Amino acid sequence: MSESRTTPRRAPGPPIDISVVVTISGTDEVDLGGILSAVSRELAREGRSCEFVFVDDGVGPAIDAELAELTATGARVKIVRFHQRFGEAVALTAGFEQSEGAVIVTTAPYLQVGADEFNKLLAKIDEGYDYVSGWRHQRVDPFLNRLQSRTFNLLVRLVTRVKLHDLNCALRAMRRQVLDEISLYGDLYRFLPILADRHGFKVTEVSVKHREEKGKIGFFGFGVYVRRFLDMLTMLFLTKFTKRPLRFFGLLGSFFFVLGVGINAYLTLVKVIAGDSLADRPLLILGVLLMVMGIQLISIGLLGEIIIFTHAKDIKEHRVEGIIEEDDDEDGTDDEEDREEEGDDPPREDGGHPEQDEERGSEGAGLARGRSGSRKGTRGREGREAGNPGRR
Amino acid sequence: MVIPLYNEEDNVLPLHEAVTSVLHTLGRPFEIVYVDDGSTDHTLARLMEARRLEPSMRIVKLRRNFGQTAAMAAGFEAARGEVIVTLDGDLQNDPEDIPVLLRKLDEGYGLVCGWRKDRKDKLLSRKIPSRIANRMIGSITGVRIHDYGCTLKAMRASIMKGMHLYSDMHRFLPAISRMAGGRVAEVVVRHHPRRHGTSKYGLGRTSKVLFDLMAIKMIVSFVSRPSHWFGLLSLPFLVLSIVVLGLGFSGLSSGGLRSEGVTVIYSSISVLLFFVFIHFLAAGLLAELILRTGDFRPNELLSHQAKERP
Repeated sequence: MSESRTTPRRAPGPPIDISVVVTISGTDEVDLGGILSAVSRELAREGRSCEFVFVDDGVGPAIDAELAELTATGARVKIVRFHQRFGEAVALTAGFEQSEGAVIVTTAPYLQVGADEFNKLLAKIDEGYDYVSGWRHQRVDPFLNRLQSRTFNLLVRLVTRVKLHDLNCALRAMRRQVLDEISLYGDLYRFLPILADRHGFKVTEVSVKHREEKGKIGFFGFGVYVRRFLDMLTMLFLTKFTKRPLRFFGLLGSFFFVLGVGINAYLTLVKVIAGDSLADRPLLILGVLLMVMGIQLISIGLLGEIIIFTHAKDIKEHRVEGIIEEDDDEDGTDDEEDREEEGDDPPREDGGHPEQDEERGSEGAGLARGRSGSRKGTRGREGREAGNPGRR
Repeated sequence: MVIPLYNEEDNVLPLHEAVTSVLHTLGRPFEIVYVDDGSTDHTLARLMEARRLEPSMRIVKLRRNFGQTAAMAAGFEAARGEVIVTLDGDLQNDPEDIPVLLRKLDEGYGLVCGWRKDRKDKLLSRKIPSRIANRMIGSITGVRIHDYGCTLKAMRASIMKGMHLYSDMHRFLPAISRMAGGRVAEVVVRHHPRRHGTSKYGLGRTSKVLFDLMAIKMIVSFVSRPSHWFGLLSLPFLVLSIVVLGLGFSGLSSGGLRSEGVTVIYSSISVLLFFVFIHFLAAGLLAELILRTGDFRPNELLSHQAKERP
């Protein structure tokens, strides 16, 4: 289909902790070899095994040589190539699909930040967070870019109330189950942390030192701003009113409707009291138009309610972290149990089990540690998950 | 038994004791499903404590606080019993009333609600708004019971399994259950003042409830044929449009320069109203389309229950 050539899966070697996914969308800004060597060196220093997934988003023969070099280094490298440009979201998704690690790190195709920052993010993951976003500090890109980026982030913060400062940073680390649950499309990858937060994942950010910035400088096209704005509107809707479209459209619609009714009531009053003719009052048309608009918005909300109601099964609101039940001494049995429980989407809920194991562990050890105990042991979780990647 | 909990650490243990002792006297097999709705206090730890004594208990832990409806939906999913009883974690309802509800359910009802006839809450902020809301919900959805807000309910699992609760739908559970073919009854239950913890409810939900009510009304009354619902809605606009057009023409026939303006304005209003009419018709057709592609099949739900209850 879209992938022209994929390097074959390697024979199962040692389990992989970290998958680094790099998407390449232009020729002038790549330093793939640099990433590969620097990052794998840094990760190895902390004793993490890693693989690299490079996604060529339609750049084509220009980077053939570079990619060939990568495979020659002997590191665990996978390459996904697209015939044409499909965009960041598709490229990232393809990269995720090829990756095997329990934790997935994405980065720009050059060393945007120091390679040692990778470990900072991963340390946060070890603390128990599910998604860690990079926050470029002491940015080195031009003022105009910084201003635009800051405005964008500020607006998103205001709209969604998720406290993150740098959504555009290409460096992010996340657990595999975040991506199992959230499907990316369009420009929404930018808002991945916000969606993750909505799904109940623990999201945080880490400030990283900005090394260099390649890519577009100055103003983007007009279309880019329009799209960002629409994205933000989508996020507002998605984060606030997904389940209740009528609350959003209904409020908006009734506002217009009431305004229209008010105008018409005023005109009626004028006619009755002062005896003016309504015919030479264009305000009448405005009043009627506002009422019509209100009615239309409300009926759109009603349609939305029907959509939600008929599809409520697919867009489940709550996320189960785990079910603790009777015969859960062995892992095998309760995996089956849980499958049965959430039969409608077994792969998604996989993330629940490890957490559950911890709870059990702490329960055995003493109840007072129930809460505090749920933080530790994340390394073990990664190992476990990586141990049977075939479970997806 | 499904019990949603959110930050009720002081209530967990007494609640658990009361519930188990009542359920044991029933002499039926039972399970208790606690749903921890992302509590930030020691609720979970207390639950684990209780679990040591009662291994048949199950705990569903949600990743964060998703609200009561979501917690209940999670509980329903996990529950395996034929009859599901829901109870609040705040001890304001008396577990002693469970047998009464179950007896009523055995008479052939699909859902039995508790009715807190003698409420022990603050008058102004809780009781009065709740009474108004109950009246409204009752008259609009057509299921006339006195207390929609009471969490103590007993229902057949077969009804709830086909429904998917979301976003504050628990308030309309009776209406939904009747739509799904279950008869609804209510039983007076006791109500105690809150002993521990704080209430998680307050005013300020009014507009939300209103819009939710509107949606539920539409869904309940015309879910099988939404084009009828929208069609009915559209008719007054067609009539109005014709009337306004008639007015305009009558103004024209009476003559005079000034009446030309009348005609323009009246006919544009008439056209606008006609637009609304068309819009509603189209919306109705769209709704039909959505319903056909969705996975809610009221007919299947009913036949499924008919099979279960010979």
